[in-house]
Amino acid sequence: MTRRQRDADSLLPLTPAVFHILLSLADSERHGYGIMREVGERTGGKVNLGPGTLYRSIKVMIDEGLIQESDERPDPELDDERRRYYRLTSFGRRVAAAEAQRLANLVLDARTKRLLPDLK
Amino acid sequence: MMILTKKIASASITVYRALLRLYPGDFREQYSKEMEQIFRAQLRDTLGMGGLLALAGLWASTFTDLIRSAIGEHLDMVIQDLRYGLRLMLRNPSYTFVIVAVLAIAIGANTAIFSVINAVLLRPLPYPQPEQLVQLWEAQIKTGNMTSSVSPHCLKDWQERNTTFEAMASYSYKSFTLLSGEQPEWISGLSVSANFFRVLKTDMAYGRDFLPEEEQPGNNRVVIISNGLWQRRFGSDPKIVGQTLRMNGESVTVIGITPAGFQFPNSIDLWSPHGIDLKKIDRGTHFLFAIGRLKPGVSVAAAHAEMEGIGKKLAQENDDFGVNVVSLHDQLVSKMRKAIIVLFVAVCFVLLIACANVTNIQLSRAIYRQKEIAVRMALGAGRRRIIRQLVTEGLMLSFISGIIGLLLAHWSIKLLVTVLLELPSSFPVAIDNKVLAFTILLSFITGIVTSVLPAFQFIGLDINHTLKEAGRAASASLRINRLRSSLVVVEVALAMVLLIGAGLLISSFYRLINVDPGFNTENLMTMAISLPRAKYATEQQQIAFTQELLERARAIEGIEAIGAVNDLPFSYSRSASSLTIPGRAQEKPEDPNSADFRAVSPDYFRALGIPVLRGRNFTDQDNRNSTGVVIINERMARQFWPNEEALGKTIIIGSPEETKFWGKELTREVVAVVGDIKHNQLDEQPAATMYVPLMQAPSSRIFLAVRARGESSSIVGSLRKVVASIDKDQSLYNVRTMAARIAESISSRRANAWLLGCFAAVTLLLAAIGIYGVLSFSVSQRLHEIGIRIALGASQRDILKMIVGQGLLLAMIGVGVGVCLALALTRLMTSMLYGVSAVDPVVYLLVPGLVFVIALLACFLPARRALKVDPIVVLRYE
Repeated sequence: MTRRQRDADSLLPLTPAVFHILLSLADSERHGYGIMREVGERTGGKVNLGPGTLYRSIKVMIDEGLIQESDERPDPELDDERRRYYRLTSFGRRVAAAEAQRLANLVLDARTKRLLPDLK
Repeated sequence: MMILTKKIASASITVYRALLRLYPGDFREQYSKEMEQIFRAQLRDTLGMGGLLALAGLWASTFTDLIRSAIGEHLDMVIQDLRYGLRLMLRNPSYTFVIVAVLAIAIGANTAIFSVINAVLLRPLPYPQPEQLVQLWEAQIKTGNMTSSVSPHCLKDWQERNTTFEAMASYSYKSFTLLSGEQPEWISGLSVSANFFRVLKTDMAYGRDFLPEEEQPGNNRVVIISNGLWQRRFGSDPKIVGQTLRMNGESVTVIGITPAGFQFPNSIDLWSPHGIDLKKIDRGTHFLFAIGRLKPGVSVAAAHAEMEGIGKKLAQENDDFGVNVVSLHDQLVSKMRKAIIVLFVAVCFVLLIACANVTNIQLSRAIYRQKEIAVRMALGAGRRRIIRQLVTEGLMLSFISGIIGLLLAHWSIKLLVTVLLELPSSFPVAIDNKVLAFTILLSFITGIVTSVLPAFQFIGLDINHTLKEAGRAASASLRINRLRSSLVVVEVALAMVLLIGAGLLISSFYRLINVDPGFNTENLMTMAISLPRAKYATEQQQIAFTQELLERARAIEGIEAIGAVNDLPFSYSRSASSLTIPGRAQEKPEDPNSADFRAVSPDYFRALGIPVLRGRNFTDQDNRNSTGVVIINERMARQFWPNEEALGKTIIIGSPEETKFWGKELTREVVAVVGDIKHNQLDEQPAATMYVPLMQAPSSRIFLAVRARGESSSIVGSLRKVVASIDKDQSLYNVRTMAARIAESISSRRANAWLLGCFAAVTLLLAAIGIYGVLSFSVSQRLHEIGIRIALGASQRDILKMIVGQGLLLAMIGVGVGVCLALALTRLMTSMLYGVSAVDPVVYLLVPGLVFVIALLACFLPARRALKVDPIVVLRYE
């Protein structure tokens, strides 16, 4: 295991809020409201991040180096207000991948134990 | 509708903005704008799609999220601060140790004394509905004695005529000799009315309470024993209830056992019903203590007013004294209240000084941390965040000190209560929830007080300037130095107040222990014996026992003299009697002449060493068959015969015992005048006292005073054998030296002086440390200046004068302020002093002198450091 890989694992397991934010930023940078909406839509309304939870998590993630602030610009889909955008760092991408792998391993274990049906 | 929606949206945003203030300042600065943006966007979407109902849903989820995340954010910051603070503490162990030690001692002392206050002054008495319980006294208004014991006849009238009491009960102290096994055992007890436990609303743990008929003479051979005696003597066997015991020469049945922890009034192990026959007791015989339970809703003041009225009527009808009603709680605590409050004020002073000391240490620490703080601020930490972190560190130190202080208090409470303060056991002192809450609050306040001032030094910190001072020693502003000096002045002033208070108490105590009691206390052993009425019903039997005891005791080797008396000095026992002087009319018929009454054996004065000033001593021929004689003390001679010789004069003693014994009023001739003695307290004025021969006024309970030739402990064993040889069912009890009795009478004064002295010593030490700290820091700040002065020709003496002068100036200002404070506050202690005024010049001169000497010592090390400064080294370093 490389030193880089070890560092990513040291942050696992991630809280659901943090993982969802990483997932949300995996394909593009977003502002806070965008992250909230993406998570809500992706989970079908099952996970709703409140602003407080969202920004507490963002603060921690910035401190840990998982994400970074991008720039401030308006969102053409919303209004003219300038909003701060966030994007994944490479370390954040590795951590997200490590967490996804961890969860995938758990799903595999669940299938082995017949808690979930096998994939066809 | 649109307008309403807009108004609702605007109001929601305003409320949300206000709620964002729940977040820590730094977090708010960083993210509140974005959070508000999100909320506005959500509001827009919600109102657009779902209307007001959806808005309610949005607010529910937003509010929950906000509260949870705000609390979480605050907790995270606290944990971060605690971790940082812990790292700092471990990196600076000596600084941490000093702060924690100083605060732990101060908080511990406060906790210990507060636990006493809680038990004695704040907590109600340990009986059901204690606010309804009162003590009743007869009040001799003319003499000012408002706590005179009660006559059974008066008590009966009070019970019949009042409307404000549920019930009244009475008790008197009685000694019991338990005959079980080889040795008779003396047990302290009370003789009580049958409703005694019902008035206190106390049910028996086993067995039953007294029945009303058991109070009648002849029916009262039943006893209730204490839970403690039951465990100690009877092995906690419930079968003791119903058993018969031999007590005071007769058989009594144990009918009940009190619950564990029950005490009234103090250290009593046995209760038996009175058996008073009112037909055989004179109305003027006062020997009972009375308590009462008020009806629900009746105040003590209302009961007092009613009983006062009843007392006045009875005084008109029967020449009785008045009535005084006080709450039972006040009655039990009144003597202790002032001393406990003085001690609490003293430990508060100790805490204030400790806080000043710790604040000073934190201030000097803050100066050395300026660079660290400047770096953190430069990296983005707000000033509020820094202050919050410093206050958290301060709170951490104070709470650790609080925990240690609590342990110190827990360990010291037993010593404080039983040895030093000698509190009655009806006030159990322990660390309960109230004391715990007090300690937590005190720790919190202490942490805030000691960290806020140092933390606020960073509000005006110039980050650029501080960071540019790379490699240079941190410097303190003039403001900080003045603040530190002011704190030291406050410390010295407060220490002065405590030292002067302690000095006054110690001086007062020293005067007290040197008071001559009027008799010789050296090698004087004392003890008591109670002859049971069942076996020694007649005066002849009592006289016969006493005479044989004294005769056999005189033959014991080692005994120089042995005397017997009904009421021994310093034994909490005192009798008085009215008297008339034949041929002289009473000046105030409503307030008859009275004097202390003692019945003594012929050798009593020799045994105690009371000088016979004029006339002759009693002899064995002064008995029932001879004429009545009396010896009076000098005080009585001056009071009743101020301008003539008292020898040869006659008096008639009006006590019921006299009339009963002689069958008539007996005229007694004064045959001697003896010296005055102190009877109960060393600081009392001797009372007029008349002594009659014991053979002419026998008593079933007598004290023996034994003057030994040299060491006296072996004599007690010989005396016990003598008593057993006369009557194996009797025993001596209350065996102590007279010196021990006198020491006990002044033990509370000793404790107060000792405790206050300890606190004062601690505060003086803290003040000295404060002076040392300020000077030491000042020298380190002024090394450059000192180096230049030396380089320019300043002598060692000049440097010494500079440093020591600074320290002594602080001490002088503190002393001045302290003396003024002490002059104002020590007046409140006047009633606690003996032979010393609250402005005693000796104390007010000695204490400042002591403080100056200690201040001088505190200046020594910093001054020595200043003298060792090498100007070349210091200037090259710059």
